[in-house]
Amino acid sequence: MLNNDDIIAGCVNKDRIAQKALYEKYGAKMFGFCIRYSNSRADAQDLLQDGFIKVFDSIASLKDPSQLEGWMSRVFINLALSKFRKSSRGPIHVEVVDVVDESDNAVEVQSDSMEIEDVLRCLMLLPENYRMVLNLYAIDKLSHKEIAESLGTTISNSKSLLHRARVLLKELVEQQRNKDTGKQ
Amino acid sequence: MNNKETRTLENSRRHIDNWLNQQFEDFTPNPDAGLWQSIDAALDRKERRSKFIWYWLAAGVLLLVTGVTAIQWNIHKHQQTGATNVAKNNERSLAPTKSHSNPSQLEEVTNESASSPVAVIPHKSNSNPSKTPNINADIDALPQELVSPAFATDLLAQDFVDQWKDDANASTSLSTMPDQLAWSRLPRKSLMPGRWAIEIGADANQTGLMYRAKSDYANYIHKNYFDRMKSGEFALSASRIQGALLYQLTQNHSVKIGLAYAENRTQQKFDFRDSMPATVIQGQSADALGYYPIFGYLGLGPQVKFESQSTYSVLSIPMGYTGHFAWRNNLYLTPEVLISANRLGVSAGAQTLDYQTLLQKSQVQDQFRTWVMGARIAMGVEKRLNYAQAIGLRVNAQSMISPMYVPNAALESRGWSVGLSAHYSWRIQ
Repeated sequence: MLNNDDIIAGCVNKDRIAQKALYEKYGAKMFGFCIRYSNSRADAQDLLQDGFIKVFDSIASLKDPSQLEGWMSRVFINLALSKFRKSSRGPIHVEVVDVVDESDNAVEVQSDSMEIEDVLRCLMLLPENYRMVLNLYAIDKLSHKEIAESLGTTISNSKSLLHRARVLLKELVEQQRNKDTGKQ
Repeated sequence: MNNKETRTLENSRRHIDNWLNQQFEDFTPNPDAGLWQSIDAALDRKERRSKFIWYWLAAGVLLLVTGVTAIQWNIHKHQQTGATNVAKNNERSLAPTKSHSNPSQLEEVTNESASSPVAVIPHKSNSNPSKTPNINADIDALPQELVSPAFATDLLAQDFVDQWKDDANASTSLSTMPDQLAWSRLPRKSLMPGRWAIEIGADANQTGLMYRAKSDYANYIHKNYFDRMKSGEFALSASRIQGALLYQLTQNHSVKIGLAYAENRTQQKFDFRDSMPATVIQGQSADALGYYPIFGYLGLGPQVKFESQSTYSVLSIPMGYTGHFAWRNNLYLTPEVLISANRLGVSAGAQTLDYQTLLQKSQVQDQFRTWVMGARIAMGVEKRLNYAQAIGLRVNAQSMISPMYVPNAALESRGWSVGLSAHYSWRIQ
């Protein structure tokens, strides 16, 4: 089993065995990123493929091998953002709601058991810009400033999108739970 | 998702961000098993593309060099013509005013000009247009000591020959001139005919594939195959470099044999869902690729969505005819008709549409013939830089005569390309 240093060195030299080892080691993890940012599994696989090609192309620019996973995550997130920007026309504008602080913005859900497939289904039902902001802020821990810069919008727009995404996701999750309860 | 996971959290309400974050913690779904093959193939294509760029670059450099050389040659020629005209005008203004129209008069001038430093060349033969002088005989007839070097140079200069050509106008004496004198700028003693020439060139073409069903196997191919191929396939670039040896049979006609290497690329994009074919196997014979006749179609099939680039490398031995027909100044029209034996190579990792199932299929070398015949026609213009060298451009169209798939495959596909080629030729003296 190759260690990260060997894998990186091999990938820099375009060694296909090292590239495959990198894919096998991080493919599933990165596919998790891709699914969260995509509309379907097929789109996620396209994103995963493009992301790995990008990683292989630019791995020579990785300075610190210990940051490999974080760096790859960032590559995949940037690629997802880039695809989103290409698919959306112009900057994102939403009607700014009165968001005072995070506590006003708090949206709570019941933390019952839920299948990850159902969570994903709910997430994929969100409008693409809602999903983007929610993913970036809630899971990938980007600040509103970073999100606004990435999406070419304002900080208040980003906050507004996040709030709407949370509210809508909550509704979707509860609907899903009611459906599951009905089945039982 | 492939790996279904269920997570149980404490039974209380919590912030949706935290809940979501925890749901995706350690979320590592497995991508499809064949995805690495796709990445592998995409990396291969990328490497090939970068290699391909070098071919384009080589073709571009050749075109650039050809263009720059042609421009410089034109500038040089105009400068020379200008200087010659100035010199002639000066000579005429200084020379004795007596002008003569035929060799006998010229002799009188030479006698008269014993005391004069400048000889005057007759330019127009208005008095006796039917009589056309023989230029070689005239030069030989002149007393050598009376012909100054400047005179000799002037006599053989292109402008002078052109003037004589105008004057003589389809005269018999011009037909006796050496062929090469009509376009050479070099002194006469260098005009030894070299029949062999070497030519190097590069093509920048657009390429594509033509498909048809072999008549005996028409029902082996999915009813929508040709429509899908037509709408999904895009012509891409083809670059070709070649070296050739020409042998000049006559002034206008040459034969040619060479060696060329080309890379022809096509791209496929498919995104559709279609019916699946029902095939009969018992008592039926398969085509050369192992497919059976289709007797019907069953409902909806799986979704087919893929993109692929196919690269066919072609190492060929072209041979045939090349013409050289004077057009104007030093420009020659150069038609070309060649046939070629091509050794076909199919890039690894290329995908295509299976003509029976309409599903994505890998292309492998075994499905293709090793050798296919091709034909090429071209028409162009060549500029003679001097006796030995020429540069030219041709518009070319080429196609495979024999199909690319193995014999007895239901499908016959042939590659084609059209485009522009540039060449440089050097006559071996």
